[in-house]
Amino acid sequence: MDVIQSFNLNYKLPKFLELDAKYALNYNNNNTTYKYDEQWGNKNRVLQNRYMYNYSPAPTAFTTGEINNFVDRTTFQNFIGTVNFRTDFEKDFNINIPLKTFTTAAFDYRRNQYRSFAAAGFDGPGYAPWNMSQAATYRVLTDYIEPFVTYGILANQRFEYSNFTGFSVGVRSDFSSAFGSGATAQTFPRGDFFLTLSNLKFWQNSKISNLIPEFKLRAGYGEAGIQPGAFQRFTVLGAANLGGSSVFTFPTTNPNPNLSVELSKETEYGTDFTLNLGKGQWLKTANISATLWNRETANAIYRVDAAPSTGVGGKLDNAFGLKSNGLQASLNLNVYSGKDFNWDFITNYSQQNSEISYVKGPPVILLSSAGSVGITLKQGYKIGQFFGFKLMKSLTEVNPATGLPVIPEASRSLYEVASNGWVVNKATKQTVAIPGQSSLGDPNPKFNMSFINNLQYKGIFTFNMQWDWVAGAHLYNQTKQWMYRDGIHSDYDIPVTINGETQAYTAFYRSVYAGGAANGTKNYFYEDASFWRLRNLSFGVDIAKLTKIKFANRLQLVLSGRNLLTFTPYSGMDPEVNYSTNSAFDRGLDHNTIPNTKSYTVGLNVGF
Amino acid sequence: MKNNKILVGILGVTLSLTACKKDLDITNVNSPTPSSAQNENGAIALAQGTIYLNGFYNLKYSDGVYGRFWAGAMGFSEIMGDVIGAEAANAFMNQIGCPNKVTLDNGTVVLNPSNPKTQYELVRYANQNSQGGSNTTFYEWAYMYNMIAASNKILELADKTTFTGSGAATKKATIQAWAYWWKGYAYSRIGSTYYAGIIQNQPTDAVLTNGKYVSKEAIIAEASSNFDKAVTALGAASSTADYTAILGKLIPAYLQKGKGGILTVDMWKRNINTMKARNILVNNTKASMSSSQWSNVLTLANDGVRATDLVFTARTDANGSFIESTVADKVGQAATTGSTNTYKLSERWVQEFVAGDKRRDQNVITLASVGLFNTDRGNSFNTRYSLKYGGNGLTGVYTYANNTIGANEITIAGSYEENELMKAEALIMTGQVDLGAASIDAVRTYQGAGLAPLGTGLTQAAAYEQLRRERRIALAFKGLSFYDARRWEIIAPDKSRTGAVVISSTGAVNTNATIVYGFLDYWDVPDNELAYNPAEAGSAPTKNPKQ
Repeated sequence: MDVIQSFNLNYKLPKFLELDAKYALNYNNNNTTYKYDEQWGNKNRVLQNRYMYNYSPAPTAFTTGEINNFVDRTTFQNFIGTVNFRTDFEKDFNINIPLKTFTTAAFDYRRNQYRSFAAAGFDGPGYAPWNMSQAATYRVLTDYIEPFVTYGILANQRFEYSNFTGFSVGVRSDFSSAFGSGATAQTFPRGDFFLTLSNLKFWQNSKISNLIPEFKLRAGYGEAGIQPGAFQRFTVLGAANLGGSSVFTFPTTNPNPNLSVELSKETEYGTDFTLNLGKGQWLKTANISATLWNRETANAIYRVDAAPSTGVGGKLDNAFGLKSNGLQASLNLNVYSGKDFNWDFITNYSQQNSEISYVKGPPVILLSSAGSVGITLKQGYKIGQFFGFKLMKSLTEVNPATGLPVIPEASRSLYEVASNGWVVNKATKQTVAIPGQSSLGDPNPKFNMSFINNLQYKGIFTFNMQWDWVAGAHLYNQTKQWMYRDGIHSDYDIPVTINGETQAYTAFYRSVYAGGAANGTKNYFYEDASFWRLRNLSFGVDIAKLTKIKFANRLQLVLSGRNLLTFTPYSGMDPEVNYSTNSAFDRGLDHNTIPNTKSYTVGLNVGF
Repeated sequence: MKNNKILVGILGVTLSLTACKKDLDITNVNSPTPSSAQNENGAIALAQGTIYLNGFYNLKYSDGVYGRFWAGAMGFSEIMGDVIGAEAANAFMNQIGCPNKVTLDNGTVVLNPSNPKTQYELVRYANQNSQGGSNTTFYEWAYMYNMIAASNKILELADKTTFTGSGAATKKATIQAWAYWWKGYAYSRIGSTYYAGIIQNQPTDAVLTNGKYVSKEAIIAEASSNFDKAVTALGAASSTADYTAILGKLIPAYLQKGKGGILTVDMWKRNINTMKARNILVNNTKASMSSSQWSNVLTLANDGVRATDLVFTARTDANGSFIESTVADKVGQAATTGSTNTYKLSERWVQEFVAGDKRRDQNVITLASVGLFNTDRGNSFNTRYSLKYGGNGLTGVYTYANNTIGANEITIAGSYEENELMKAEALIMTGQVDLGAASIDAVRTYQGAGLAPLGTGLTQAAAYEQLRRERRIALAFKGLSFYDARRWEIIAPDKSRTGAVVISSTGAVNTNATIVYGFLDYWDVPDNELAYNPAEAGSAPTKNPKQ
């Protein structure tokens, strides 16, 4: 349930000044109830001793029946008082300068109160109907309140000169309850600028306007802060049950009273322009838009390890900084535009690059949500970069820790490079891992592109084709690794030539799994996942227009297919998967991830 | 006019909100804070929870496969003591117990099939900061330093808290004894497992440590010093009623049954003596023990845990406990099936039962088919046996595993059996063989082994062999087995164990196999510690020089 109430008072003076006050109250209440009935009659329970439960501390087949009740409530209040001051030199002051000014000053107050309460009752009474009050035992699962208050002012001053240039500068300054009343406000500036050269007289009068009728340049700069979570600076004890007593514990991750705001700065430059190319029906116009951006984050809040002898596992800290930049561009080309036939071609390009600009202290070791894939945050390395073991590909590879060859020269004759390129022991057929872990590379793509063609003929036939190209991407194929563990991957049937004999050596494939660390990350499973994919192909025909039938003015049959063709060196099911979109660290991971599906659609659009 | 009223209203609201700076002072009402612990009840809640839960349960890394301290960290020790084996590769537990070499009855040599090929290399390889939770050597260290830092906080609180009533001094002394005892306990584990350690006197909430590493001998000395402080504090607990009341709250009610309960001051002192005797015994090889060391062990054991004494115990509990399962529970099964649990029962352990030992009948079950596990993980842990949850119904006979909540009691520090066997060993080694044999008999009787007494007239060697087997059986699954393997010097790469029962990868039973274990005797300091707390100049070496 979501109840939103808002009040708005607006007062406009005839000229210049406008006053506005908004107050909004957003009340969100979520109630969730789970109920598992007694499972006495469940044959699975009887045969396999399996039964469903969520929180029962000691479930047995004889104590089934559980009700969980979750109540989550968020009350959010927001007051914004705004003063706007506008002037137009020409209209207001009769001064012959086409200048307009906009001044905004606002006060913004936000208060959020989150409340969560959850309780569970276990061991149903064995009859129906029943509710929680009839359960044999109870437990309160959660009882949590989180208030958060922030307020501040923002001011912005904007100037526009005619319709070809303008700029604005502004500042925002906020207090936050994450820092308490003793702290000073956090202040962040912003600014932007645009110049539409094509609106200038000299442009419009010159020949260039025939070729480039529109041309705009833009730039922006902004700084922002992300506050720590409501309680990330509060030192607390945990409370837990030990038998019948309620006891205190130290949390394994310590909050940090010295946490500061995560800072980010972003700069953006862009241009939009239109080109008039051909005079005829071919290549009439092209719209091009490009944006170059650069973002820097400092003081990113993250849990970092503490030495175990401190008695805690880690603490929150302003642990590292990030640097990202990228380019986004698009071209919209009108390839052919005729009376009956139209062809548009669109291509999009994007590339981005994020890396760790600094780490406070030693590299931060991450646990991927897949469990055993190693990811480390280290200065100069990319986000999501995998660390793992390298199986040798050349007999002379050197152990980086010692500077000595991994295989001493004296015993080199016992090894060779097998037909599939990996160094193996001739006798055992096993691969050889270089001791220690190192970076396997940056899994992020070099760039992404898409190519879209839209064709239509007389409004009767339509045709659309989209190809996507992802270049230089990598995936860690953990799905394959687990299948290697169990010896169920079809690779086990692929013969390898070792020491002059060709066989599908199980020992080779087992050693790939067991090399380095049995479930450790290793280069063997780190694969090129670049691809070309026919994302969409569709063909439509409007039978109504084709046959001039009377009862409908539109009867369009559309046949379309998605992901019909993929060209990739990746050996897994789909090069376009990621284990967790939510975690930037886990994006290059294929861990039993459901692949994109190839799909065919037949559609009929009818219009009367 | 109307407009002006609105304007004034807006300004009024704005101004009243601007005055709300005190709004920013929110509090976290969800969790207690360190100041919540500054009264008697709070101090007890902290003294109890931080020892048991931070010391044995809550860690930044954990894994359900091997579990927490009492199934995982102690499980690793039992794996290296060849009481159990494991097939799963979590935290390299399949490899830390992989012997370098097994020679089967027919002379076939099976080398360690893993990579790295020796346990020395493996331990170094696992012990890298980048291994995170896969570092086998991380766990015992981290749990025990959690306990030490928590003890420091308890000592700090004991000084800050105003205890009530006429027995205030006793209450304070009891809490101090509690903290010193667990500190002594934790340093004992650290000094008996790692090559070096840190003397840490900072409380947990300071999040501070020091880079002055000291030798394992200095850590054991620190353990003794804390045990002595515990004895001193116990001496100051003059009001029995207040001592009993406080200790009755520190030891959770659900543990106050069986061998667990409110120890008297004297019982507690005897528990301390047993721990001190252990520290001498397990940190010297049997061959290197001097007669004065044997005599020290004997003196301590003579005043150590008695058969009727209460000891420190653990159980599972439906409302929350600091163990979710014990080492033996991760071996056990409800009934004989063809499958096995996470930990596999070692053939070398089962072979130690003397014929007719009822403990074997009570606990050991034969698998429906021989358990053969991945050969590329070493096959020394193939087994025919498992443990039965709750035993086979023999009354009065000790059971190792029981997964019924609350039913399995384990001793977490010293026990009567351990103390009596230390006494027996010291007696045998100082020429009092008959008395030593009597102590072995006493332990067998205590556990319901149903074996005929050893009687008198055994040779020293024969008595010692009985002692060795009895230690293997009576003290299994308690984190002591590796210590024994180490001090009996069978784990070194140039030593071996002969006459071992080994099931080969084909399922053939070998009864006279030779195993070269080649295990590192003391682990290097975990790299996670060194990465965040590098050794300062003048520190003791943090790495075992054995290569």
